[in-house]
Amino acid sequence: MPYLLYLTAAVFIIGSLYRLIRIIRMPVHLRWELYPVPHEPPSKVRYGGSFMEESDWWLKARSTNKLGALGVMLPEIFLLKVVWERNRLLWIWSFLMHWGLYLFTAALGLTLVGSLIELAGTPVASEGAVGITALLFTLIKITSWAAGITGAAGCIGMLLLRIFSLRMRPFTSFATILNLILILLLFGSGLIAYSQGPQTFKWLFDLSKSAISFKAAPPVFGFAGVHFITIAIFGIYFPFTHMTHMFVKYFTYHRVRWDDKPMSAGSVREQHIINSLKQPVTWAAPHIRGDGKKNWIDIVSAKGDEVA
Amino acid sequence: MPKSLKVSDISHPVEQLAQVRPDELMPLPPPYDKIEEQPGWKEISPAQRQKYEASLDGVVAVGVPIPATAEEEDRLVEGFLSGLKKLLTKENNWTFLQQLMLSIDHCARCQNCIETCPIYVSSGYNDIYRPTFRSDLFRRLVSKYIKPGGKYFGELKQGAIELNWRTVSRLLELAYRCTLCRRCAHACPIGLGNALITHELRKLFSMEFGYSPKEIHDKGSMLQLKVGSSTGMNRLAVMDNVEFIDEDMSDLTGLSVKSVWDKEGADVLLIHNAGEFISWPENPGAFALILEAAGISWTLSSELAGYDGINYGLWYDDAQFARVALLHAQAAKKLKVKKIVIGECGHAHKALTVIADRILTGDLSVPRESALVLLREIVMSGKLKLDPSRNDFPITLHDPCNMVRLMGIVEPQREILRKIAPKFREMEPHGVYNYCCGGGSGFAIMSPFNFQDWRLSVSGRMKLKQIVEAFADCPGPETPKYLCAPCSNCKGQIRDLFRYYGVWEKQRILYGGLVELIVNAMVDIKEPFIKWEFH
Repeated sequence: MPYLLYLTAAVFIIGSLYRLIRIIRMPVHLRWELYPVPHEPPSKVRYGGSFMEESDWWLKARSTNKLGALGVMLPEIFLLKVVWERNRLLWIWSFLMHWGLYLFTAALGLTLVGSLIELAGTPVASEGAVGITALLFTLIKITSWAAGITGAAGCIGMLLLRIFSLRMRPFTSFATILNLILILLLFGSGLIAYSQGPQTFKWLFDLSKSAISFKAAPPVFGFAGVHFITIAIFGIYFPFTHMTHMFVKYFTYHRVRWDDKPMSAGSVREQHIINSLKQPVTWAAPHIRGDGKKNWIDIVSAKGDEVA
Repeated sequence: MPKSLKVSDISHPVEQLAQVRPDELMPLPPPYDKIEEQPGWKEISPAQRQKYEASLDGVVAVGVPIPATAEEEDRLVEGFLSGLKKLLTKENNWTFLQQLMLSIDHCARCQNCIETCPIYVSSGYNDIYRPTFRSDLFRRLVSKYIKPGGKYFGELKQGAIELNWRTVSRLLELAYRCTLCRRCAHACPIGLGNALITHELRKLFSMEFGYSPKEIHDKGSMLQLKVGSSTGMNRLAVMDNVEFIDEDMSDLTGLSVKSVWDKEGADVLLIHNAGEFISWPENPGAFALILEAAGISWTLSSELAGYDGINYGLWYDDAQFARVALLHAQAAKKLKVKKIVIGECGHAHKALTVIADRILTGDLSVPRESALVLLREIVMSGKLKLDPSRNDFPITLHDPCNMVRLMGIVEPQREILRKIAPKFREMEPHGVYNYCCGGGSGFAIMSPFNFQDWRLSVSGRMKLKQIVEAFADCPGPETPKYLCAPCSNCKGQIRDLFRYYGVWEKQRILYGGLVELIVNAMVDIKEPFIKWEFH
């Protein structure tokens, strides 16, 4: 079992990093902002205004609100605000499913912390746990149950919507259904495993401890093993799906929608752009005739007959 | 014809995939609520159908010829795939690659955005105009035909799709059923948008095939690059034209108006959309009068494209876009002006200020500012003597998407209106959540085949509804009303909308720019500047 845990962790981390690095390494693009941009001063965010409303803005120090983004991202991540505003039926199920995943992640995190504490010598899930560490183990159990209930309910609702809603069904692929089924299996197997009794949590906790300490894993405890395998499958599958929007959101918002930074002469960004302009072009239309030798500067500087 | 369209239907050999029916369109408020009184719809003739692609929705915007042979069909498909691959390379598409890849890989297909689209809603929720239809189709094609393993897993991942010549030619038409207003992006919980994919599709067709609407390319950006303006005016013609405008303005206002050309070292280089000189000469005339009266050091440029701020490449072609932006920057650099001020034209604003920002490197990066900002400075400075009672009629404001949602220039125009227009009222929704005029992304200048009927019946429908509702307290022709639309393309679309539905006759709503209202309020002008004549 620990080997599967190592494999899951490795694929999850490497797969996610690969996707992140691919995005980060993409060339500096042209601006494509959309207002409101939350790092503008609150007085402007209120109606969606920008620094470009100011006369001679390039001569003035720019006032920004670094915390403004949090005011948008937190309600978006934790309350799914935009979905709430537009589609309440979808929101109910999506909200439950997302909170199931958040709580599940929290339970995993607490298990990891608890394992480290216990490995350091203070009982958490073992006999003798008292006070705050015992409370920690109780919290893991409560969080896991809450994750299972909300997540499974959310998944069932989402699946029904995807299958029966005329609004969504034509835009639902096999992969979308598969994603939901996997998440449902994750939560469903969890609920069955938890209902076996507290030994399930103890087994999962001990598995975590053994993986951290590179020691032999405890013998599989009933359905908890199945639950663990669904966790592993989901973890391995996750980086290759659109569910990576969990962290890609940073780029879609901060690097595109809110990236309003004007070009400044002599900046690193300007040098990146100059390098991009020197790349060969192969677009074939008559007014471009990119032959793989001409670069963007050649194409843009073309005059008269060169522009067909 | 399928009642409920599936994305995979795009490749099916049916005569027409979707139909726009007048009785299914979003109802309009009175006095435009009677279907039998609404303007007719020009049908594409059988001869035209045989020659041009019209099988998407019976509307033709681009007019791409139908392939005559199997070889031509293959060439269309191969060219599309070649272009699609280029669109996903950093060499050919560094300009928008990151946005595009994020949009391809991370959409949750939640459909949260669909009702934000005025075209989809106005059409009566016709599936072909669902903003996600086009995006989903694009993702399926990338997934199946471009991504590694796509042949085996592409359809499982994104959904069924078949690429044939019909898919390509219909997709080209479909790329011109979205105004790129980006309203849908506000509703995306992941931060994506459908307009970006529309934009990239248009680029693929233009930059790989040379396919784009003639009004935008041949008569648009190409003409501008060759002659200096998409109006066809060369420098002598435009200087002549402006001289007449100055004379007319002087006669009309009793003030001496003299536009300045090629003044080196001026504080401001003013670049208008040159369409104003021809269609709405009172607008550049009013600008000249205001700048002179305020004592601004300003000039116009007679350099190639220096007197026409349009940049149609913004909507369909990066190369054309960059070529025109370069000419604008070079004109400013040559005159050594302190800043470029862009007249009342939304797409010119965004093109030169935002989209061109990162490609104008080194000394080409001349500061750019919106005319609305400069006008606010002038109006609030007290340099002009203004009497708001001269604008004592109901006024509402249209927010051009490019200036407002996509640049965040929201308040300057409102501050001016609050000062000079006592009966100013907002439309709903307004500001960054406004609706497009329906003429965005080039539609306002496109009228081939029956496309004009479509843009006035469908894409402009929501705006007409908004305008009428903004004046619900004074609907009849006995009260003259003014729609302030500080954008040339929007004005073009609104002019056509008003003619199509007889708005001037039925409701006496006049449309025009912001500067006209400022001049109308100037106490130094003897006669009212606004003439209440529809044109």
